[in-house]
Amino acid sequence: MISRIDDPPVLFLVFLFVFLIVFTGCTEEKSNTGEDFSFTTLDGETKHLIDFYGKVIVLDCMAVNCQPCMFQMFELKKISENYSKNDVTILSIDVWVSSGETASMLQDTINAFKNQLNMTLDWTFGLDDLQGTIQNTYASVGVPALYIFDKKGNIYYSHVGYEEYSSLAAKLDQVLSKV
Amino acid sequence: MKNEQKFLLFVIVIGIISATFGSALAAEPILGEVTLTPEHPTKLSKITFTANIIGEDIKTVRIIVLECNATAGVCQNNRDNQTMQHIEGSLYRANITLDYTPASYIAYWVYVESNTGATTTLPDTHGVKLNLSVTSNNGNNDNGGEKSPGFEVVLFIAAVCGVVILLGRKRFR
Repeated sequence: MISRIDDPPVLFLVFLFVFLIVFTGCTEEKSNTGEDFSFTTLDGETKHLIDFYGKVIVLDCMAVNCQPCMFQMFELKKISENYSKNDVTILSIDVWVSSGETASMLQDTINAFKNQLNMTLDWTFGLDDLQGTIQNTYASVGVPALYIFDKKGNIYYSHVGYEEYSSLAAKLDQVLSKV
Repeated sequence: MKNEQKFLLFVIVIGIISATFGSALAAEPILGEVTLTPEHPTKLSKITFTANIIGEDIKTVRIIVLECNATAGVCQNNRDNQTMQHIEGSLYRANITLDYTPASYIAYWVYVESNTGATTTLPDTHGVKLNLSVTSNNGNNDNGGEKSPGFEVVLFIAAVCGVVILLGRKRFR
């Protein structure tokens, strides 16, 4: 006996199959172009995200007062050490400026890593504006919020929360191999 | 006579230095105690922070409260009004309502701004960390916190049950 497509169980199974594909296929990978933003570097210079297009960008939306963000620095340091700066650039942006975090607090944190842990955080650091523009766009759920942009500025990967180097490196290898 | 003059000069210099540092130390605000009501808050609860701050020339007192999930390593900044109101004497108070569902702990700091513009962070830059009491566990979180099974598992189980019932009915026909 051959089941027809309008049989209730078959129809139900088809519906179930489609439903599962649609709703359980959610991944954290995205391929949309990230919204450009400007930020202020610790030197007081204004930079834009698009200034860094042409390299794979690791955007780290962080805050000085956020403990997991400090742990994330160790993982970002490994990326800084293991990937060429011609291929990958890291941007750590303090997105809690609207809550009182300042350039001097960020600088103190970088200095503390250097003086107390002998670790130089040798990538670009910057600050969001007082309105929290970057926070609202990229870190509304919480910090650290990590994004990987491909060389054309498309968001390849995003993750909210602390993430280990191995996981980030796997994504970086994927996006670098695509070029 | 010369020795007497030197001694007098020494005493004056020491006096000036002591007075300068003494007044500076007196101006530095001191955080006596921060009490929380309730003492052991739970997530999504309302907390009253009362800070005892001793010092002169205090312009504003703010409290920063972070809500974090230790498992996912995520922190959110509570965006409630962070200014602590001056109640009486050295007491300042603020009501904060926690709003981050996956939060497992909070951390808080008190910032004191003086009329001269100087800001002091109390008790130190690391803040005070406090684990939130657990009274219930709903399991499902949907805003970037714990990666526990969510609504799709429930729907999947319901769908499987539906298929089993339909197939069972057909066999009985």
